[in-house]
Amino acid sequence: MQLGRCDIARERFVRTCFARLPTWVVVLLVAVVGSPAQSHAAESDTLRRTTVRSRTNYYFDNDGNRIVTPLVAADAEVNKYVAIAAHAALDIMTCASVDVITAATPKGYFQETRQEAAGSVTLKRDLATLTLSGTGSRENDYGSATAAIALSNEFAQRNTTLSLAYSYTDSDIGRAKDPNFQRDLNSHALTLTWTQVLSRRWIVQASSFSGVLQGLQSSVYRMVRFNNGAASPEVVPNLRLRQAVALQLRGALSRAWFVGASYRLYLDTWGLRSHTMEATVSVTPKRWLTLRLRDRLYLQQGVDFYQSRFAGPMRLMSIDRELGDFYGNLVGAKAEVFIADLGRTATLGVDLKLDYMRQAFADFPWLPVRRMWMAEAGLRLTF
Amino acid sequence: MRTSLIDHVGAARLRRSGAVAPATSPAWLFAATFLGGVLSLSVVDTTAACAEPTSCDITTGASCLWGEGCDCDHDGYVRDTGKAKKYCHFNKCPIDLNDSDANQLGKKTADNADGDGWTKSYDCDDQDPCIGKTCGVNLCVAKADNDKDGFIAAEDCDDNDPNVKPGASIACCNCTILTDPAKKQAFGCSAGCPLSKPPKDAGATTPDTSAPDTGAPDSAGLDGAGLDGAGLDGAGLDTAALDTVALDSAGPDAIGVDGAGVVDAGTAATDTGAGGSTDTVVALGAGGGWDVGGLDGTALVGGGVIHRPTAPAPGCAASPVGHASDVAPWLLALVALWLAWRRRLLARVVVVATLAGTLGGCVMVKPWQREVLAHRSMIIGENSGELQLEQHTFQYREGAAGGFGGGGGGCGCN
Repeated sequence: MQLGRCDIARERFVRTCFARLPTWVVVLLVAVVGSPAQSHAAESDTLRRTTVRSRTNYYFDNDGNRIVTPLVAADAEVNKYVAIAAHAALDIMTCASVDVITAATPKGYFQETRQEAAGSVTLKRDLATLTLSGTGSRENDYGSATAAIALSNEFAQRNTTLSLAYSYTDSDIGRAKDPNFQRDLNSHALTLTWTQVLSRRWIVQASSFSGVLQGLQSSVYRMVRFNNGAASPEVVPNLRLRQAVALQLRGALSRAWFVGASYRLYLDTWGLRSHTMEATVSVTPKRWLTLRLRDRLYLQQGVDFYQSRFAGPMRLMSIDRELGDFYGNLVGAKAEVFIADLGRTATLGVDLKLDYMRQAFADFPWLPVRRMWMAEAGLRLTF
Repeated sequence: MRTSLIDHVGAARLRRSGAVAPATSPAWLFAATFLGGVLSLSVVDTTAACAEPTSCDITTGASCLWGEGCDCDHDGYVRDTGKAKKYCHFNKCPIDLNDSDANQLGKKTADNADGDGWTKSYDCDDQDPCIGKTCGVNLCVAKADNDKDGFIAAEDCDDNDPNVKPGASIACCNCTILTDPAKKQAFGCSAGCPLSKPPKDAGATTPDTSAPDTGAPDSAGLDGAGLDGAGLDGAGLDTAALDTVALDSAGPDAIGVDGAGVVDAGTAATDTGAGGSTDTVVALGAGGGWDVGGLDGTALVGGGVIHRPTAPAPGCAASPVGHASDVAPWLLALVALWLAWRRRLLARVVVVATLAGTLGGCVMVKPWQREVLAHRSMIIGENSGELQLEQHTFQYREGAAGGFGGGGGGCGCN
């Protein structure tokens, strides 16, 4: 949990955090939106698109957490070979979780905002695409910067797409009211993706993810409790190698009915193993309307050094319930309205999503079942 | 408590020290996949099939489902509404009367005064709809159908006898048979067309003497225009029924063009025999625009001038997924192999090699065939903002991360 503390009122908090949004992010977003217009004037016979997106996610659960996440993004084709994109997002958290409340949160809850901004440049050449991107994120006790490069190429008359992406994240971890506390966490991630058109109605994607995390990975606030009443900081390995493979399948049963299925197997050197399965059904009853239902199942076998309570000190100890055994099930519905002929060449998409997720923890007596509700609204304008 | 929770979700074999249990993969996932494959067999491509050559160089219908695309009915005529105004080539493409109906062709415009398929930049005589690109060739004469059997003179081997036409169910009236010397001999068509007239269906007691049918169906009097022609003779005499589903699949269609088998529906006699290599007659018939995209080699029908013949990838003819829409059962078999074969490593090597060898080299869905693939529900990673927020949510509430990669598929038209 990368959560810190924030002790100002929520409303004021929102205003303050928006005001803190880095100026360069605003400049970048404006540049992204504005650039194609100039290009259109220069070459009116070439169609280039600009997309502006806005999404807001509202999350709350029976663990006392409420999180509002607004996101704005824009991407544009500068010319035939270059596209740029940028986004900015906030996580506005009000948390009273039994898992993170510590002595450092005297009010019984904390409020905090995480700010994130990112930009990318995509270069296209024939069937190949190269994307360079950078992301920055910060909160009062945590900051990270990510650089990523992704290369994609299409083969077999655009029926096969191979992608290779690498990212590096440098995180600086602090601790509230402890300016001398400073730790590092570095992350490398490599993803190889193979997407294959199977027929006019079926498409499959297989991907492999390899990751390395090195540095402080335990919570700087959470304390392990012993049976004798004593407490000690969590101790987890500094190195974590992660591996995941996933398979996704999409199919059209007709021009209006679509199905999707996916499966992911995840393993890491801490001993955590999980299976993620999802099935979706979509229908487009009207040309402008798409409805989707889905179910997502998550099964996790936790790490060996997780326990809700320890008898005594051990070499590795964690009471992070998300490292223990649990399963989760998400059911969700989504409706999307898509207006294709808006102002001759513009399109407008509006969607509303509602998800309910339930997690049952095998060994966490303070909250054996966590129930989560997520509502999300999105707006997308392409012109 | 741990065990009971895990057991509750059907993962009893999920143990710290144990291997991943195949049983944890839910049956409904594969059942849904299988069901999807079966259902997809019944999907009918509604694209009409009466297109003729035009001067248009755009046939994409990739985005027609939501109002984009130029030639949504693939008849060589484009629409002039919505976004089509932005990027359709009106200097080359005639305007369509109704771009949702391939039976309704061009309307008269300044660029196409006679309303035929050729704009004035290409039309030898833009005031005469019977004159197209080639001066001196009267298209109206070539399109005459004297015997009113549905096939114009250029297609019909006897345009004066309605009983003789491509796709006729009796061997000797089938032009394809008559142009194949071996089959002419096999079916007793020694005198050639139309001397061997089609025997009328004589009822339950009349034996079939014109074809080597020996099986039970013939003895029941099913000769003639009925089941005899539907493949019961076993000689590869494809007629309307079978041609569209079965025999199309092994031939040049393997590159995926005639995938569902429905495009050739009106041109039954074309794929002669299993795995036949001749779609040539299809090209002149009502086979629709897709055949032109590399199968027939004639480039006479459908979208127009840019679709040159393209040979299928080597070895694709034998691909189990070369074009069929029912890939789900095939995938199911691979998944079963992956999970059930006790020699795991070997099984997985076989599955991966099979996937790479067949899918990568043999599936060739053209951009103009991606109308359904370009639907928002079919594009993996289509809504990046939604995925980003969702993965962010899961990352903080689950121990796992990563694994879902980039995009792909879609309209293939970028």
